Amino acid sequence: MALFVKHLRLGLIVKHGFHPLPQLTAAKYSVYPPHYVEPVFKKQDIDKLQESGEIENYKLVPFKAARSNDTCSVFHDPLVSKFINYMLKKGQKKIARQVLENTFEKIKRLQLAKYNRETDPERKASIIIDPVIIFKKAVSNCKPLLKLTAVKRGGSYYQVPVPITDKESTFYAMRWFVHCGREKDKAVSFADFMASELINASNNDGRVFKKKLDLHKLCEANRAYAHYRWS
Amino acid sequence: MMLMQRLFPNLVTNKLCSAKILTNFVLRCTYGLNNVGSDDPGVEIPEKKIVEEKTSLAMRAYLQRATQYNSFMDQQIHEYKIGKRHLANMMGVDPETFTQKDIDAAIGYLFPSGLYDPKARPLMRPPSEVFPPKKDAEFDESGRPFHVFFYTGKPNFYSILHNIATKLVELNKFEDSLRKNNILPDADKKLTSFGSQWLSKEDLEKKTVERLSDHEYKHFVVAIERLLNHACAYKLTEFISEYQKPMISTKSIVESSPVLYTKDGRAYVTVKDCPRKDARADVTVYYPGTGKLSINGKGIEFFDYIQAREQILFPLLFTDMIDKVDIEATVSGGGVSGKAGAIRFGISWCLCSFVDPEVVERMRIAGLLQKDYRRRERKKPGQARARRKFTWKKR
Amino acid sequence: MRLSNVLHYRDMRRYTKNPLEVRFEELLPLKLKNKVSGKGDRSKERACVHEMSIMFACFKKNEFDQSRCSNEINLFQVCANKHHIEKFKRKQNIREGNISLGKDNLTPREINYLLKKHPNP
Repeated sequence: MALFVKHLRLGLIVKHGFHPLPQLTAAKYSVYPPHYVEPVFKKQDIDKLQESGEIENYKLVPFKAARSNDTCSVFHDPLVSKFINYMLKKGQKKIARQVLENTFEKIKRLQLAKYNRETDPERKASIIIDPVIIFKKAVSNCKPLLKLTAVKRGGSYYQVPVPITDKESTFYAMRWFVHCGREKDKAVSFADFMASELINASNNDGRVFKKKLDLHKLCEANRAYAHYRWS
Repeated sequence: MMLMQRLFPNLVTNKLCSAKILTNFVLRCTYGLNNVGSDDPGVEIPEKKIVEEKTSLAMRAYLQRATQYNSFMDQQIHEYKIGKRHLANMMGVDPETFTQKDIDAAIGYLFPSGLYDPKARPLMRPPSEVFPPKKDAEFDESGRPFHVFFYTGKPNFYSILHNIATKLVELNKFEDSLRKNNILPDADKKLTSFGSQWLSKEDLEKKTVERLSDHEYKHFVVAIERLLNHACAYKLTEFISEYQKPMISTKSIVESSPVLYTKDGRAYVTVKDCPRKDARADVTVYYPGTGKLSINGKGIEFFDYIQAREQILFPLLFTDMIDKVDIEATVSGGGVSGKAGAIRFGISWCLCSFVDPEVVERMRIAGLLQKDYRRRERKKPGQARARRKFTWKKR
Repeated sequence: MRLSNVLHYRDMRRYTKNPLEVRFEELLPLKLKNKVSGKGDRSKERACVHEMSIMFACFKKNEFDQSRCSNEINLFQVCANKHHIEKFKRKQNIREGNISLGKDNLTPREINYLLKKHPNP
């Protein structure tokens, strides 16, 4: 506060607003200096930058190096690579990636079989075969709208329904998939189990979808506590 | 050891140095309004005779400090020169042509140090670099300070803040006068901070010759940013740019390696020692080619990890050169992703010579031309791993 | 002003025979302070509770089928996003110490700053 007063005395007059006391931010672990920008490694994204003319702003801005799982390949999908990161154990990314690829292969086989069995042309057209699209649909179907947090009021804890951000709900959905996959029967392989689970979830069915519904029901039961929230 | 000290009186480790800096810190400063002496950053004793009775206590103390500092510096310079001659003789070179570069090389040779931080290794530099410059006298003979802000303790720093504030008031007045005439400030001329950053704390300390706290530096940044974000800041580009520096020098953006030619007329570029983690790669790219790839004599099957293969193909896909070049690479050290990253870095830099500058800029934005400095994070004591903490138990 | 006067003010009144004779005494200065307390900083009402209850009502009616409540869900999410952004901005303003001029409800922090700059005469 003494500093603040000193500034005022010296005539740091600020028209719109008062002089801030900047907070000291916590130490960051990045090896790059703070002015380095995250790379834009997809060609389409750079094209977008170019179209909007924003690229001129970055002429003299340094970019961080692209990560070792970033690539401009058409097979790269940010959601899928995030899911691999969520399901890996002890940094064994190679294995996790292989497992997910097996899962996708299984999904494709199952869907193709379904496709070939189908005789009605209208239904045939509605069957999705691309595993990545199925995966995305499954995740978006399992994204919760709310979560429950414990809030202490008058000595006891209440489960209070709270709205969540898009990022958070995506995380919840993917984490449920991973946990569900780990609770499976030992006789079934992870890939088989996950493939059927993903296909089910994309059709609004299956364990993970149930989990989301259970959460929603619990939130509904506790809706009376909604005003206990902090903000 | 004694002999060594006699031979190299100026050979100080940085630890010693910093202690000396601290003790001498009280004296240092040169900048701005109060520079009564010459431009020389060292201490200047005013030439005119000062009558003993009239001089204030402060002035006398200052003069005493100044003479002390001067004699100290003279002695240091003298010792440095002697040390330099001895060193030259030991290395068997003519002392007259012995430069600072030679001194550094000789010290590195005679005192090989295993210390990890380069700053902690032995050094021998001119005293003017080792000992920071001092401020001139900030007051006259009667002890009256020259500078209005003398009693703030940091007159130069606070005069910068004061300048910023007065400029801001001026800009506000200017904007008001514009708005009175129903003219809006030109939105196209609005300044942005893209591509430039503020002087770092160290730079600002050098500029003001005053030691600043983190808090003070943040105050400065906030103040100057407010000035920059003002709608009429374009009037003060010169003033603001005094405190800016570019984020990257335009020179370092792209410096493509020289293109060489084989006997049959194919162009090729070699980039050596491409780093990533512990891996190092030498990469040669031939143009035109047919998309042949050899890594340590094998094809892309050198890696059985798909992600590593993707990494090798990343720059080629990005520049659409996948079937237009031949690549030869040798890698050693590191693990799988380190090796792949090193080769990716090498290929990207080689391709720079064969593509348009526009594409090179795009590659830079995609982060292909930046060296990846990240290393394994060390484990910390009192923690389970680099970040993971032990399970907390009350007792 | 003596503290004992303030403390015994009521007692003094009680013991005077004729209440009309009580003289007015300015024990505390009769002007507002240049400060407000920070207790009322937090707004009492919780954001999006109404939208949430509408959504739950719809859920109950349709047995938690989201596709039949898309309108309600959308309203709730828009509200939540808006609230989230506002919260972030409010925090940022406090961190950076900005004042939003022309606003009806000023925070105690902002009021205190303005009062310090323009104190009561």
